[in-house]
Amino acid sequence: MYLKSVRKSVLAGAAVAAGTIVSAGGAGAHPHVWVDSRSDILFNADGAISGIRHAWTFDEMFSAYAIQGLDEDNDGKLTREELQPLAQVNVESLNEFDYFTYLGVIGVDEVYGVFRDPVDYWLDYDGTKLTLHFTLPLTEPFDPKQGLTAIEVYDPTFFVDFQLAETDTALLVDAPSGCRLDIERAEGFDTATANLLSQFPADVRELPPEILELTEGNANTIKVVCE
Amino acid sequence: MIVRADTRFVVLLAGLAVACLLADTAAANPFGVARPDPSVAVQSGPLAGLFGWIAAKQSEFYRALSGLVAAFRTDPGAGWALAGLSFLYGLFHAAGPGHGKVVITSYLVATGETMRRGIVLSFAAAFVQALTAIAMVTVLTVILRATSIAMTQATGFVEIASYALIALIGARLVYGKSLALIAKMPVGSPQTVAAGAPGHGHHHHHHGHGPDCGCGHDHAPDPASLGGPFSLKRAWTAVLAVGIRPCTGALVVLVFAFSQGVYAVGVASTLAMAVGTGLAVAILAALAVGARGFAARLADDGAGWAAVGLQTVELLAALAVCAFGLLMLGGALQAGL
Repeated sequence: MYLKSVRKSVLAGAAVAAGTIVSAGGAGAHPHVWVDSRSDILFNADGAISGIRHAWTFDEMFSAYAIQGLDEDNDGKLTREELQPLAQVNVESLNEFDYFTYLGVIGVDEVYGVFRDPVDYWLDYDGTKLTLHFTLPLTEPFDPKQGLTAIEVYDPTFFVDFQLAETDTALLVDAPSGCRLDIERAEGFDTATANLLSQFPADVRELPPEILELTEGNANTIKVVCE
Repeated sequence: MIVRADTRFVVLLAGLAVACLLADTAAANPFGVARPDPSVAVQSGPLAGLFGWIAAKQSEFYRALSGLVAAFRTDPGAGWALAGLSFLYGLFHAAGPGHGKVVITSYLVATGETMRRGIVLSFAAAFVQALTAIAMVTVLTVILRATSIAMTQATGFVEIASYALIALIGARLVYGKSLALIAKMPVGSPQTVAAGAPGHGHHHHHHGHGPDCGCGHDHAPDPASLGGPFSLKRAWTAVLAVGIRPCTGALVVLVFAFSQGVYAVGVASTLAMAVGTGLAVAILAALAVGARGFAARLADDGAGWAAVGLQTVELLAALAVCAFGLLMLGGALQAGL
């Protein structure tokens, strides 16, 4: 994990105070949900990053569970309208988890992007799997030239197993010429590390430095290189 | 020598109380549906690697389950593989720390049940848990066609009810332990009890730390069910207390099987899981019954003040149960349900 943020620390502090007693140890050692992640990096006219547009595809079992009872007209198909209440619950619940999305300059803790609440969120269902689409706008555009910029999509506690999708993993949208992407996939955890990570409550987003070192190499990192 | 043995026992009790407090509790839920089953990890020590391995296996089995349920539609031969895998999933799911097995083992320690009854109770509890999951999915999903969102809320209400119950049980335990402690205060010089003296009064009442460990999960036995001779009615209170909250893994498998048009396969899989879970809990129960015999011998060797020490630890644990229940209740209510 290259990125850290002050905001996360503050949140984690509050979470530790309340969470250590209430939910210590409750994170779950193993992933319960598997997600294939695709991300579009959105740029504004000034060549700064204005937001991230995610498309997260859930595993089959979670998808089947999540869609139950949503086919209101019983036609065997799930429309975007029928799925909208679920999409709403998804994005509202993700808020507590910072949308598992971190944007910042590698190696500089103080330089990071802050996301606003998601917009344009919706779900589609292909018959076996659900895909959650949502856009995270930045409160302020983020200039990718201020340092080696990266977007990380991961769950540090490994409750959700995020994998970057094999195709269309990440796209630059309206980026200035001279910008390109450099993608590093998570390598996965060995058993001991996965177990260690499970010590942390799911709502603790900031891990101690020595733990972070262990998880180095397991972030799904999308580097945005602009010359 | 005798006092040192007792000191160790008190430390063990304190350790148990703390471990229980840190055991699995409600986990937050990133997507708002399918409330996750919390699993507890062991921080360090020789067992950490083992539990990590168990967790990794459980994850593999869980993923493979969905493939087999789907495969059953075209190949009924997948049924045996599914049953085997479900059994292993149940076994590994229950082999980690936490969950209802804490309650069952504490219940056995508190009541001094025999090995055989302990094993029967373990399997009964596992099947009640499976039947709760089946009943919940059958009513909510199959009949009422409730949404996953509604189902998650229903699970949330069950949790709130059980946290409130834990707080109540904790309060009752505090009351009982306080009275027991006052009654036990030695008057004058510490009285020494001959080891293994027959008929001395506190043999059956000093090991009630077990139910306090019910703080480890949503379920705890009714204090009325503790102590005294075995009776089917009392045993069922503990069994039902454990089964009140269904395993989320089973819920998801059931709903998935229903969505694939093979609901009966999901039911069979859930029951196979219960066999695995029951086996794992029964093994732990047997260990607990053995450990209880050992602990009882240590306490019997102790002096009067050592017994007071035990009582104090029990009272603290009872207070912790009460506080834990209130904290969890507050947290769950604040989570917006």
